[in-house]
Amino acid sequence: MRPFGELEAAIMRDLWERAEPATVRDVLASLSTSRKLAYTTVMTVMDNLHRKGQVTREMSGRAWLYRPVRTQAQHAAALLQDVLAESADRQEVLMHFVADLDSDSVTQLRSAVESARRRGQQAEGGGP
Amino acid sequence: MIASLSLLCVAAAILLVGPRLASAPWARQAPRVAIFAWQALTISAVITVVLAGVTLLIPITALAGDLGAVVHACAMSVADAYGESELLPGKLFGAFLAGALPMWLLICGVRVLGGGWWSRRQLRRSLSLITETDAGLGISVIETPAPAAFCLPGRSAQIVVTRGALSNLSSCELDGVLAHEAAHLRGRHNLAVALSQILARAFPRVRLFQVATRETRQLIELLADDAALQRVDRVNLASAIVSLAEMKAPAAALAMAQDAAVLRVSRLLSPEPPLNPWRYRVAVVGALTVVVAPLLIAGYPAVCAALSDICNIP
Repeated sequence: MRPFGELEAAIMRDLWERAEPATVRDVLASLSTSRKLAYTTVMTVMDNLHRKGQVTREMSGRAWLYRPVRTQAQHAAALLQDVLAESADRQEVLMHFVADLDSDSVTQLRSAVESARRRGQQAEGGGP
Repeated sequence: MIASLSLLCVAAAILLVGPRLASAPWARQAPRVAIFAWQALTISAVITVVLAGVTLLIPITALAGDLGAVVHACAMSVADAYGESELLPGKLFGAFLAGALPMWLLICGVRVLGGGWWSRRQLRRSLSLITETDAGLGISVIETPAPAAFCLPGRSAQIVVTRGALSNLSSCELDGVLAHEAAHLRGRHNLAVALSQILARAFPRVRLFQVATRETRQLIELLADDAALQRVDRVNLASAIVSLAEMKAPAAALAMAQDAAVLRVSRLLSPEPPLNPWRYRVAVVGALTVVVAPLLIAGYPAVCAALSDICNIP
């Protein structure tokens, strides 16, 4: 999945923060508080997002109403999956705490950890 | 000629015997020295081969004069000391080893480092949209129930943990995870991996480089675990590894990753004594020798020419 461009990301964030669909003018209004943007710029980027399948739109009166296809949580989950799949063996890019293990070894390792914990507690309890 | 041949023999020996370091039992006790030893072996293999090429070329190039100026001997006797490589194949072979090989390494280096830089940039941009900073823990949090914990090295390094992992790990376990990832970032472990990766990518058929990459990947995990032990105890760190693996859906695991995790946990639960100081020194000196020896072999004829003090003008 290609990352969003800077303005795309700002627009997606704005759309996610709203509960209801928004027009280009709505988005422009809330983004304009932090920077100066042209109406046509925002319109073009939102059109691109629609073309990329990130937002849906429906005509309401004389303006398009945009809404994100996926919620932020859904997007986060999909993106995370992509990141993990892409970088599974690329430690020079990112380093995981632990890789995937099969269930047999997880069970074995868990019992080893628990018995070590018990031994530790016994040693503590049995000490002076 | 003798110098070139000896260097090629040394290179062959390193390439053949080097991979055996993987079975050295002390590597787990001193991961830092072991990583250093792998770097020394792989870099030495490259230096030796390049120097073999250079020594083949010395008689026919201006190098003889430069080298002579350095050791105070005349160009002719230096050229003579390295022997006549009159044969065209010898010259071509020398040019290939001394010219094409470093160039290829440079290209692969740019590819690996540039590719890593680009991927991290893309990742940072993607992540910035779905992460919230937790100032208290100093980490980025992804609001998703899927468990994951990783760190992104580089200029704006960050540790990323998902909400799912945060809420399922005990606070001691979480400390262990964060200390482990912080150690990766502080130690710039990604650079050690990148170095081994460059050589492995440049020469995919050379077993030494493949083994070195595999071992380096595993050793940086041991190194980060050791660093984390300064903040959490062994059992909690081992427990964090198992807990995070448990949370993930059981997957068809890669055998290598599987072995690495098992090694980490068993090493934490039944610690081995630290490496005997003498063996530690022997390992370090051995690694240094492997790097310095080819330089000595390559320079020996020039030094001899300087000592003989006679200018051989035919």
